[in-house]
This record gives sequence, C-alpha cells and structure tokens, in this order.
Amino acid sequence: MNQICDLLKKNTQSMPDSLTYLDENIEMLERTMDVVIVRVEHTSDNNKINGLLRTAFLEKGLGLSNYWLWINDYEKAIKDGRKLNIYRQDKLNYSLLVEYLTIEDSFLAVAMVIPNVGKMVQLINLLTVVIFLTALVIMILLIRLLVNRITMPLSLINELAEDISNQNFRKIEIHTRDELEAVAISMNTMSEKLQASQIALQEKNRQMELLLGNVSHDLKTPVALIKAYATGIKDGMDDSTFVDTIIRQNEKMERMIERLLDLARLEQSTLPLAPVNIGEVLEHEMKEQMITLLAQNIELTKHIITDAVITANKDLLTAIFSNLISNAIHYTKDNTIQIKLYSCENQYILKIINGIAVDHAIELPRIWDPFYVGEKSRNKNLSGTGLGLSIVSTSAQKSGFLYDCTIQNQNIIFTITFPMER
Amino acid sequence: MKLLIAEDDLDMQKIIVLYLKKEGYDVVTASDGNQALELIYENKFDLVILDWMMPYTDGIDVCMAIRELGIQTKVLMLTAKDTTENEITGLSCGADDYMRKPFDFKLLLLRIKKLLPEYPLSYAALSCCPYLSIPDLPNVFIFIRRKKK
Repeated sequence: MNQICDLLKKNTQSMPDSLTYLDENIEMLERTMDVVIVRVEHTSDNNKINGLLRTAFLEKGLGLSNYWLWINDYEKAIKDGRKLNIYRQDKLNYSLLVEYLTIEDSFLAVAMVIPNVGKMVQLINLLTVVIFLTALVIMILLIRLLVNRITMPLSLINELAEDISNQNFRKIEIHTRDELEAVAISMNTMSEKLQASQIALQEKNRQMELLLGNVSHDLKTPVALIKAYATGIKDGMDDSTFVDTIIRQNEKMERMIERLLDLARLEQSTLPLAPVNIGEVLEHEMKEQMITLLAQNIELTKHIITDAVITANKDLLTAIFSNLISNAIHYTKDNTIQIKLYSCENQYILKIINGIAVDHAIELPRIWDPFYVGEKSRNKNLSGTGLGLSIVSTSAQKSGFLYDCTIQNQNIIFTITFPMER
Repeated sequence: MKLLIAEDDLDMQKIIVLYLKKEGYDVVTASDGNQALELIYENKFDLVILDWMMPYTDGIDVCMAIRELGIQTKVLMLTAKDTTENEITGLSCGADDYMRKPFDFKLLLLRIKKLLPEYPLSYAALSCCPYLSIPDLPNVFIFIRRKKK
C-alpha cells in the first residue's frame, strides 16, 4: 500500500500536466495491482467529501456498508500527506484498508479489499468438517463393500476347507473375478478330486476286505476240516476215511498256496524272452488237459493258425493258456469250448469261448481279481480257487498282451491280443 | 431231537453228522440253501445248523426267510466268515448263535445243547456227554455236592 502511494506521489510531482498523468497512473495501478483508487476534490465539508468518496468507490464497483471519513482523519491526511484507515464491512464479509493521501489539489483514497479471514476460516472449517464427514461415510461404505467382497468369499472358502477336512466334499460358487474366484475354483477341483479319491479308496478297501474274506474262507475251510477229522480220529470216530479226507484237504490247501506263490512270483520276477510259436504252446496245453476234457465229455472246437510266432516268455504263455483252458473246462455249462487263434491287423488274437448259465452272477469288472469266483458260496465243487484268471491277467500284463473278457449270447469270451512280430 | 445240518462241503457235513448222531440226535442234511429252506418249511426241526456260504441261497437269506415265515426254530450259524461284522450280520438276521470255523466239537455240542429247549444247565447234564469233559470242577460245585450229602 505504501509503495503504491509512494509511486503515485513520485510520478505525479515532476509532471507538468500532473492531473492527467495522475489519472493515467491510477488506471495503470488499478490494472496491475489489486486496488481501487479514487480521486476527489478537497472540501472542508465532511459530509460532502464522504459523499464524494462513497460515490467514487461505488462507481468503481466497490460497495460499502460501513464507511465514514472522520474530519480528524481528513485533516491529519492533509497535514501529514497520508492517513491509513481500516473499515470493517461485516455484512459483506470483508474489510477495506484505505490510505488517504493528498497530491496537489486532489484528495486520493487508495483502497484495498481484505477478505474477512475469521469468517473465511469458519467457512473453510465447516466445509472441511462436511468434506471429512462425507469422506468418512464414503470410506465406511467402501470399506464395508471391500470387506464384504473379500471376507465373504474367504469365509465361504474357510467353511469349505473345514467341510473338506470333515470329509464332506462339496462345492462353492464365488464370482468375484479375481484371485479369490481362482482359489474357489481350485478348492472345488480339490474337493472333487478328493471325493473321487475317497470313493476309489473306499472301493479299494471294500475289495480288499472282500479279498481278505475270500482268502480267509478258502484257507480256513480245509484247515477246519483237517482239525475236525483229526479230532474225530482222536475221539475214536474214524470210519477209515478220515485220514484220506485229511490228506485230500491238505492237498487242496497245498494247491492253493502253490497258486498263490505262483501269482506272487509272476508279479515279482522278470522272465527271459524268446521267439515262441503261440499255436504250438496252445496245442501242447490242450493235449495236457485232454484227459479232463474227455472225462467230462466236453466238445472242443478249435481253429488255430500254426505260423503265429512272437517274442515272449514261454512260461508266461503256458500259464495263460493252461489257466484259460482249465477255467473253460471248469465253468462250461453247455459242455462246449471253442478255441480260436487267428491274425488280424498286425495282431494275433486268441479267443476261448464257453457257455455260461442263464442266471449267472459273474461281475465282469472283478473277474481278474485274485480270489474272485462267480459262485458266491465258493463251493469248490462249483468253483475254482479264484486265482487262475489273476494269473492270466498278471502274465498278460507282464508280457505286454491285451486281455479282455466279454459275455455274449450265453457265452463268456476271453480274448488275448498278441502284437505281431515286425 | 431233530436237527438239520445245512452245509455244502460234504466232508464238513459228514463229520458233523457223525458227532451229532453219536450224541443221539436225529440228523437231516441239506447241501444248499434252497434244499435247506424247503426242508425247514416242510419239517419241524429243534435246531438248524446253517453254513453261511452255500450255493443258490446263502445261509443269511435262509435264516431271514424262515424268520419271515414265522418259523421259530433255533438257528446256529456255523461259518468260516470270521469277522465281528459277520457275526453281527448273522445274529441280526435271526440266528440264535454264531460259531466260526475252524471250531471245537466240544464247544459246538455245548452250544447245541444250550440252544435246545430241554437243555438242563447243570454239571451233571454236561458230564453225561461223552465228548464233553470239564477238567477242573469249580469249587462252588464241590461245595454244593458236600451240602447235598
């Protein structure tokens, strides 16, 4: 403010047409500085000068609600050349800093608007509080939304994990399109796979229990008979057949143990390979069982090619053929057996076919299991040990042959596929 | 006393029959479940000794069928099925007793006696049986004998 007044005085003093130059200076200062400068004529009439000043300020767009230049201040301004006053404009929310100065015959008032800081601060504070509260509400809403978005899926995933640990396998639906959804998908997959594994394990356990039950039954029956007949001898009840029964049961048990050991040996050992004529081995095995075939009046139809040579282990081939043929002899219901060996698309195919009962209870998926027999009573007059087909499957696996069993038109068909030599 | 032995293993059937006949029982045999069921339905037996695993119809089904028919004949399951679960199944299906193979004939005969209605539960009755011998008499029996004298 001081600088402005000094500038006005300094610029005007040296000029000849000082009033014109003063007005130009006023305009220039008003443009460059944020001030309002009014110039009026000197007058001793206090009311008049106040009226002139008020009008001049109003013309320059400065409204005043509380303004008065007291006579003392006017006189002091004339006497000292300058006088600084401040006018609080309460209704207009600002104050007016006015410096009066006299230049030659003119009386000037340089006014600067000072905003009402207290009110502004109050307003700003209010605004800040409002903004803060609004932000707080928005934040709370956002946090809640985010927490819901994160914690809800997490809670669902946690519940699923707990259920899985309690073997309650189920799935959850989470569609957050982020990592949580990926985790949920993984958990669902895990749950699905665990359930499948559990079902497979339960089935395996069930089969194992069944196997143990069957082994237990088949081994215990001869043991029970040996014990019973031995006790009978001790109790003097022998009708001279007891020892024969003991020997027969003992042989039965021995046969079963031998077959079990055969199976175990097959699973463990690696047997040497050599070129083998399948037809020759098959014919040899049929001859071996011819006595039984004739004794049981079984009609054997065969169609066997003679030039089927493959690289295989002869003992394994013999085990396969011997067990398949004796199986067919044991279980044929129509007293017929068909044996076919033929070539087809780089393969030799063996089919052994025999008739089965109309009301058979054969479970095809279990037919290769050790100790599985179609006859539920496991009566040895009606069924075998249940190890023959297990020996066939193990030998075929060891040799790399495909094996299969199907039932068609009251016939059970065992198929072994041998890869042809190249 | 008329007993039915339902057992598909003929060797086992034969030795049980021999022991029971020696005990003075009237014994009838069946070699499969269907035959057993037919015999039970047509005759009145005091006791049926039933194998579990038999051709055509197993012992469990036979037992359930006769109970379903309202036949109250005592049933003793005699089987190589040897787990506790098997025993629970057997007894739940209506059998009165359950014995596992291999078994002891003395025990089998004792259990048969206990199942029969006229069974007198006394040492004297047990000692009548030639194949049953109780080596050590409990002190309480000696005491009772002395008192009686």
